[in-house]
Amino acid sequence: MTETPSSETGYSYQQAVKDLDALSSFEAGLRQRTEGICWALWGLTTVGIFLTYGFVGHAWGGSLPWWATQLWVPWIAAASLLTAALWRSAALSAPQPIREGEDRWWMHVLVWAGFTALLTTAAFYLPGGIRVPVRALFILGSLGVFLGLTNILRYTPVGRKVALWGGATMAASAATFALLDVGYPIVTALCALAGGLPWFVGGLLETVKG
Amino acid sequence: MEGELNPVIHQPTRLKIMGALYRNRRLNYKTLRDGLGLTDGNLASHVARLEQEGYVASGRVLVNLSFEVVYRITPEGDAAFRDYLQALRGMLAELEGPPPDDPSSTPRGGDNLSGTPRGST
Repeated sequence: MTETPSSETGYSYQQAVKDLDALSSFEAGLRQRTEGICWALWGLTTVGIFLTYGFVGHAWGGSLPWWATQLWVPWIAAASLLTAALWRSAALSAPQPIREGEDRWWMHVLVWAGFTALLTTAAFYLPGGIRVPVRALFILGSLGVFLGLTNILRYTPVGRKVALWGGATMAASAATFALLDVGYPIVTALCALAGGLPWFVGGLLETVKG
Repeated sequence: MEGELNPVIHQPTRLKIMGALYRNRRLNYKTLRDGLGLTDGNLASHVARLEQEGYVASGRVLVNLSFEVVYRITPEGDAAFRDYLQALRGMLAELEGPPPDDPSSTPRGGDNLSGTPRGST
């Protein structure tokens, strides 16, 4: 500690505070980590939704009761609330870039809730059976590719890759599963893993690298 | 009163380096240099001073088939920076003094100093 005293350097406390505030450009890492955790969270949510439908479908012998069409709601609601909480937590201690993320959380919720509602509703009006989870996985993967290509949710560059490659993996997995000759529970379990793991692992990697 | 502030950190360039690393935990050389608008020599000399105190550690990591220098804040650096923020907050509080109608309120100048790591999500 042989530095010149601050009184001699002329570096005031107020200037130090201003300099600390001016470090906003270094929030990219925080934004990426938050986004990565969100991807991991939505990956787990996807697994949960597939398994829930698989369990209920198996328990009811493949014929789902009317209320089962809305089983996605609690999952999406919980994930949405947690997503909002995560962005808010990051925004509490970060300047502008993160606040933009906080302001946009409703857009994520709108996209995912709208997509899930359409998917689950459509699934029950189309020929069912083993094709339902495979079809859901394919559409989910396609949505990921679409979000990655268009970047309408303004992901970070890494987040965009997670959306794109995760989605492509899901769509390719769905195409493969469609060729399998196995029972509904196995297909559902495979779809749950293929639907959740790409985004979960991608999100974790994004968080670690952020 | 000023002697209570850590003089290694209370220097414009080193404060910015520590602030950036405190929030992000680690940053590569180019990001730090370009983000703070420093020259190679300036960054190297100040990082060396921080490394000498044990506040910052550097290493090389393989990224896209090439090695890049990465700086990270050490636990000692993290604690020192937190102490610095607390001391700075105290200095500002003393300088501004309590508002006449509410002696117990938080000083305005210290409001924007976070006591927790910003990058710890």
